[in-house]
Amino acid sequence: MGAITGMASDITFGGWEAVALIINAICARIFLNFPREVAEDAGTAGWLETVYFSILAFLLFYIIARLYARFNRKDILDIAGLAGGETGRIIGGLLLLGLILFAGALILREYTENMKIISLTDSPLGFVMMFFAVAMVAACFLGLEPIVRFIAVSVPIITAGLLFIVLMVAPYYDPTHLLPALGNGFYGIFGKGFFKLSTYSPLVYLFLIPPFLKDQKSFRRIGYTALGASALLLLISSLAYSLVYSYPTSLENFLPVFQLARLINYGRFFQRLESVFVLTFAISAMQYLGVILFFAVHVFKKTFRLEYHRPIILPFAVIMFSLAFVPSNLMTAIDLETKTYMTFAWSITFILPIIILLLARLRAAPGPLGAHPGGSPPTGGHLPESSPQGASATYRRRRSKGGGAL
Amino acid sequence: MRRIVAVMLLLVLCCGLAGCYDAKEVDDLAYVLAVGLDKGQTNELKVTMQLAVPNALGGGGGGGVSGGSGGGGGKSSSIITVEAPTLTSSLNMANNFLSRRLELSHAEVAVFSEDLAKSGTIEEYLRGMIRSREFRPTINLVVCKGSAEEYLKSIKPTLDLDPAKYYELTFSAYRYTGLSIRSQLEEFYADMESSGVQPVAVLAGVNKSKPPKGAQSGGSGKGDQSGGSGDSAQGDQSGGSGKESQAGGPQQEAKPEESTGQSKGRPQPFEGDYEAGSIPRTGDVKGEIEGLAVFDGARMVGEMDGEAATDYLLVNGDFHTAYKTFADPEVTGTYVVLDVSQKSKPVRRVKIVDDKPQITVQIAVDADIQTIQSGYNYEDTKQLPILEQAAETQLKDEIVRFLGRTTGEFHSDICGFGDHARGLFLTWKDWDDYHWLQRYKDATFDVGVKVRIRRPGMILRSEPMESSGGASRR
Repeated sequence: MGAITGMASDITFGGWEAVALIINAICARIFLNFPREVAEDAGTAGWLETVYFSILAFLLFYIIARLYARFNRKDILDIAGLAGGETGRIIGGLLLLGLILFAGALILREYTENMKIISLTDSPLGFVMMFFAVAMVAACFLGLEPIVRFIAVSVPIITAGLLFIVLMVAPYYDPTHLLPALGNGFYGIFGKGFFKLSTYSPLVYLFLIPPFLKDQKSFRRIGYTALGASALLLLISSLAYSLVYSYPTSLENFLPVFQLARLINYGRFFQRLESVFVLTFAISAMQYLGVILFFAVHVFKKTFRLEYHRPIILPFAVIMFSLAFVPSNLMTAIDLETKTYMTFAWSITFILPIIILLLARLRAAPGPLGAHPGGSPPTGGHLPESSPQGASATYRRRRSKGGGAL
Repeated sequence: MRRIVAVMLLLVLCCGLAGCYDAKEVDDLAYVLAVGLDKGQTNELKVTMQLAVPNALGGGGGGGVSGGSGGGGGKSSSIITVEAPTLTSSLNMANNFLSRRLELSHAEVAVFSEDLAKSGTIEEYLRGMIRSREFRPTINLVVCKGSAEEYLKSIKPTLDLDPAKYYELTFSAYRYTGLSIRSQLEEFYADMESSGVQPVAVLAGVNKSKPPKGAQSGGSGKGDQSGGSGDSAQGDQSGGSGKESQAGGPQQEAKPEESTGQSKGRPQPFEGDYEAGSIPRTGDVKGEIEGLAVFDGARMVGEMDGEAATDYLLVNGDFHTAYKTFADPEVTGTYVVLDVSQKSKPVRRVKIVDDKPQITVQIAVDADIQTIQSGYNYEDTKQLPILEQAAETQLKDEIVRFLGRTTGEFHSDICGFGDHARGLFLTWKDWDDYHWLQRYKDATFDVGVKVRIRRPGMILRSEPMESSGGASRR
């Protein structure tokens, strides 16, 4: 895909970068608990549940993309401003911020604990977490453009690593592990499976990057491509896991993909390839955490109309770092992520934008908003930062003041 | 300048990541190659560990682990034994007298004594092993007739200096012998929890055969002709108890009742008619494997011989290739040896009729002729079907006998027909309610075997031997 210019010249990233950003954010869960989670809901039909909630996600995104058509180049916070004025933007922003911080803290804790269990067993938790936190802060200071460019390069490598593991465990595949075909039954697949929509909650980042996308067509195409690729990877991972581990053993494994990687054993010289997992896991983790912190800061800045984001990077990193220590143990952290977070995250990702978009459409005059370069000012002639003109203006201001790239 | 500072900061961080808390020097660790578990005398468990002696492996000789007790496992390894309440605590206790920290990530085999396996407590230890980061999920799982400690002490490989290589090669030998199976921790554990298949483990033992007075150790020395079924004997397991052994080979102390051949109505045992520990042979390595240990859940309920291992592999589609002895259909008292390989995965179908499982198994086998003792011209395309038919009948009888024991004697679905039966149910609850493992004992089998002989070896036509008495072909 060609480069999409978010602002006149300074901040640009292509459609592929945006797709890679979303794929990495969604598929990071593959390396955590996802394959086991679907087995918990649907038993031997975990792959079927993945297909089901992926279709739901497509449908909901289709609705959102249709509603978004009139709000070219505006992010969801701008549109919340249109829908509910200052109050609407703050409420929407705080809800998004809550979601991002909640997910970020839990994922930071989980990644750290996982690394401690599989690799750095003797290191204190805080010591291991510090490395993730440093990567997160460094990424955030560098800005969105370096982050997405790095992700665009690393996502194919991470995907290759995942596919390598999936292919190498093929000798352990047993199709009978997928029987009975309906696993834990309709309620398990379709009832509990509904809440697995939250797997796609990182799609929320897509609603925050439109100011940097060229046109509405790109927004849709990026959304569908990212959803399709993520759905495929989620399906492959859940299918491979179910093919290797029979139910109910499939419910037991901590870090399912790591457990798959441990099985790889081809002769005396080709084994212990879980190091491939550790590499892909660590890269994926660090860039995802970088994205989380960046968007947490970005949302806060936009919500409260702050001029600079850099001064709040460290405070937010400290908040995430501290929140990550709140769960008393890993089991609690996993419970919070797989139960609590999964129960509500889908509503903020899919329902909140639909409500905001509907309200904004009701309140806005007919005709495309923001169709002309820069979009229409959302409130009182204020030029939003996230609109190309606004972002560009802000960026130029920062550059001139040494504020750094967005 | 800022970039230089950033790069330096990263380098410092990397150093911290690699060496602050988790630094482990390779020569500070004692690598466990094998773990043996027996019932303890002073505590719950007696854990035997075979440790690699790196200096010896590297050709330096001597040195290595200090503080070991018990007998040595050869120059390249050392054996220690600890009595402890659990496997994990035994590591802690052993680290009190070893100079190096024990490391299990290179362990190749876990050996459970028969007593322990039959008591059903194996589950307690497996749960610890599967949870441990150090134990590989692909570690070989073995049940030893007698003591695990004795078995590990009996492993003094002469062909391989490295015991780890010895274990890797020995436990993958089923691919070309068909007389044992593959049993790895992960599979065993999953089967133990499964409601559609029951676990099996490799059967090991310490050979008790003694060479006769004056006989030299080191095998029969007769190569391919060393025993009635000796064509399929390999490595240390050369020989058999065939005609030559009756005539006075080094194995003549083997007693026919130690084989399972008699119970099958065979005048002479075949290569698969032995269980580990009873193979008539000599050799430096006393430990051996043959056959399989059958489990019902976590409890061992029986053991089967090498032939059953072949049948198990054939029924599961895991058979690779092996020499197999067949009775000559035309000349009584002589044998034909075929190099058998599985042509394709077996077709397995399960039906439930009157609430009872009806199981169909179709097995296709390709074979090359390896030996025709009688010199009968089976290579002739008109005679070939006679041999094929005989091989089919014998294989089918063996497989029916094997499957019959799994239902009638062990009540254990070790071949995993239940996994196929699950397809008959729509949901897990329906499947669970059927209680397959309880009903497996009522299963009936319809076994079909198709043998196709493809190649005659290096001889295309057998000609009779000539002597003063005339042609010798029978």
